Amino acid sequence: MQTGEISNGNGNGNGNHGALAWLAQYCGVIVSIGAFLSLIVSVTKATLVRPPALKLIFKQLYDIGVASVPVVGITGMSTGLVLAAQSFYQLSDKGLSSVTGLMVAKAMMTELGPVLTAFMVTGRVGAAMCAELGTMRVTEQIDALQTMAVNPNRYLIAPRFIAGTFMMPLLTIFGVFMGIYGGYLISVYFFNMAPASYFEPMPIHIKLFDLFIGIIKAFVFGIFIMTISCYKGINTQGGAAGVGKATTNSVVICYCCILIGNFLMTVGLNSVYEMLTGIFQ
Amino acid sequence: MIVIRDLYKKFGKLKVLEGLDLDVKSGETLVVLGRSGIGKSVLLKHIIGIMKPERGSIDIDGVRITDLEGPDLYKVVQNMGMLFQGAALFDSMNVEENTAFYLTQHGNRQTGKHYTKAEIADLVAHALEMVGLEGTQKKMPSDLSGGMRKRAGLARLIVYRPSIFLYDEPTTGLDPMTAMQINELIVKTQNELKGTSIVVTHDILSALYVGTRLALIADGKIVHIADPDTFMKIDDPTIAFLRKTIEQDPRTLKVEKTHA
Repeated sequence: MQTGEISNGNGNGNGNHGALAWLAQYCGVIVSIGAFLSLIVSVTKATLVRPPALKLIFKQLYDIGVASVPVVGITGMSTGLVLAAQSFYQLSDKGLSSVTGLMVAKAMMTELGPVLTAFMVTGRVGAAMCAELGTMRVTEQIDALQTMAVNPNRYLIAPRFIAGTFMMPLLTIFGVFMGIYGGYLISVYFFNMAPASYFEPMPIHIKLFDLFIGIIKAFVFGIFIMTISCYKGINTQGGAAGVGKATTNSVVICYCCILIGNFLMTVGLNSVYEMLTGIFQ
Repeated sequence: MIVIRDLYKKFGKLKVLEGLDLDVKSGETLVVLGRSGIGKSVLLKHIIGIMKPERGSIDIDGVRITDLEGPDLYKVVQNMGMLFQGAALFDSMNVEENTAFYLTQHGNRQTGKHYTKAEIADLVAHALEMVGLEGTQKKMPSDLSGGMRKRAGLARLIVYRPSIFLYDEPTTGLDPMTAMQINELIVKTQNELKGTSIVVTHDILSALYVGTRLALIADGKIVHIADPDTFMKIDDPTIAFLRKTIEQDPRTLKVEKTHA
């Protein structure tokens, strides 16, 4: 609304108009970030004051978690298959084929598992969630909730937020497992590797921290997906076209946040790990 | 008693309400008339607390709801109910679940007592019977016609017996017969539940049928308010147009009959 007010203002000359438009855009972004953070705070507050009904949480646990198992499984396994095949092709002539399993496991645990699972959940769950809430907004169903003294943050968003942040790490672990298993299948049954040589390097080179980093990332991605999708959905304006626009925006923003967040967490968490190992050694 | 004073609301540069004053007496059915987009629905959304004004106050039975937030606001809102223009039934729930929604969330409005499933089913069946939708419990909103959706929306209100009913364009988009059915239901609800009702519409015949007082909104303010007979005699171009509309509408006969 503030954006509209400023951009429609009567600027004195083209220069001023350009500056006002820029300022409006800049202010609009700040207002959106503020509204987004305010939504997170009010959802957290509503959840803590009076937690949502378990029935609602279980429904979301099923929709977000259980229903995503096939797509996450297929994604994890196909990634593991490709990763193992590429590793084998690239490394076998250098006598390093024995690290295939290690490469698959490490990549899946720390990077590909959390990121690809987050992408799948964004596409399958985040988009649907945004479209559902957006439709509820434009057809006044969210207003109807409020007129019946039901807080939409507690009734609609909190169960999704709780279920999403809980399910993302579990789905990621499943995706990683399927990736490693996929790598095992192609290495052993197609490239004739000994099963033991696929798994042998793993306990030596994979640390608990690698699993930890994947779970932390999945948890953060879960927060990104749920909050962004719900925020864009609940703030939808302008009918069916608005719902489509909000859904597209939410998916694009989620993907960007996941990729940027992944980079920052990889650098940040590894730096912290190195710092901590330096202190304790 | 609802007391609205000096209510201001704007969307961007568009000023919708500009110092609106309005008193709604307990037990009456006040109809707010006005052209589309003039701020009638916005007024209702302020009364029920969905929207906050830029300035001004709304007191409901002595409680200033414009100052309330969160649980305090919801406590007051629990006594109100609103029928939306498009009925706003929850798509993911069938008619029974929609109608039972308030009861499953809050239980009895006055005592707070939670109902058993059987009690809820009975109350829902009774509410649906009142609006002539018996046997539709398992139907989804998408399976209902526009008129049926409105009636299901009304059943969702009747079931918890709010003390204040707000109707947003209850007859808009309906054929004359269905519109008259909705009007009759509003009167029936008012007679049986004895609440305070505010009906927002641009349908003058509907207004004359259900209203005990009529108000005309223009330029963000209430410009005329009176009982139906006095209202229709006011010397105002909009009301003159409304008089002309009535003369040309075949439903007039039925309204005259009811008032007689």
